[in-house]
Amino acid sequence: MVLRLNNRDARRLWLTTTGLAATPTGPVDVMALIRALGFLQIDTVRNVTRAHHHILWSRNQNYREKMLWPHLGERRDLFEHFTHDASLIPMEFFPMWQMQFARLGARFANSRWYKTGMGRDEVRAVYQRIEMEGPLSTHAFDTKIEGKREMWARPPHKKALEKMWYGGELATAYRENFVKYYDLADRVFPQRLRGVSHSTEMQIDWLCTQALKRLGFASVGEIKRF
Amino acid sequence: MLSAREVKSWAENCSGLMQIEVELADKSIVPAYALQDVERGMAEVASPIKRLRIINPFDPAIRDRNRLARLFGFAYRNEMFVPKTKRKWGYYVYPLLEGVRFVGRIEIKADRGRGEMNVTGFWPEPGVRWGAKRQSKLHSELGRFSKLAGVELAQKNGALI
Repeated sequence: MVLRLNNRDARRLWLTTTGLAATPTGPVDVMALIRALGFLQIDTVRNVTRAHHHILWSRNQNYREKMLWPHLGERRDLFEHFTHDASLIPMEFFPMWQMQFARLGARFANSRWYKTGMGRDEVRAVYQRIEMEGPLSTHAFDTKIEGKREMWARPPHKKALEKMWYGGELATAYRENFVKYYDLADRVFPQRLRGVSHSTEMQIDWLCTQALKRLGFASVGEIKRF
Repeated sequence: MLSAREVKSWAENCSGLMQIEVELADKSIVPAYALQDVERGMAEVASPIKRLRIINPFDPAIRDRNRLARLFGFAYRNEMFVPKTKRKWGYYVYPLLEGVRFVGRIEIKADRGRGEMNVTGFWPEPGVRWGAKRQSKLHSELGRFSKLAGVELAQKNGALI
């Protein structure tokens, strides 16, 4: 006999697993909220508050905007990468994210839009400036480079930064007023996690299981889109 | 970044899964995968509280528009990238969730400079009666939401719009 969820129960199960069934009060544990969701999408538009703040607040209304970013920049409880959009992901998931870095890195390396028009040396120079100076945002590159302003003022350096970020060579060190500061991945991801590697099968199994756990029930398409 | 083929192959070969059936909003029955502890999980599921919630357009509960439409019968899309003249609702419109039902949508904008939050659009879902009780629940939620942005809910002679 196949288990059948009636529509009301299916809704209840989904709202419970996604954190919208219970009364949104009590002490705030930002990391517990994000772990329960799997990851937290971030978005720049601040209509009332930015989406990431709103999503956490919906699950605990004692949440306030200042509570999130220290977990990325100071505590390194979170790292930023791409799910279907820019997202904050619990740091302990990093070993299971290697395939994602590899696939996204390859996708952007081959994408026409992401052709920077920059030579290998110029891309290297972007990397080296960060290596020398520490975390830099895209703004550092069109304001500080004398004489090359025209070249740097165009998107190429931003595309180079993003390509290295997708592939996991660079990582978000922190954000300030939502502006992303890039640093070398080696300085962001903790040593203890960088040495851990899992097979592709194991990463796929982990990603699918985690998605289904949080969806409660799902079709193949829904697991893929999670 | 997983392909549909990878997920399908995972689901077909994973021993920890069970196949269940789910009733959609339109009463049709579709197959779905679940982890084997789904029945235990179901036993712990409570009915959602009756509070009215303002949901963010990027909230994971509604991120998959297809799942949302099938399960709740709620047709939603983010019109941020739709040209203004072609929008059905607005630029940044929040779904309203009450219990297990999406009862409407609302457009709100905070102006932190002026310390104000304004409601600029409101659409109850077809078939939802918007009486005094719902209005009062909406009002309470707007008040709580405005505190997150550190602003006051603006009202014109007691009305929101």
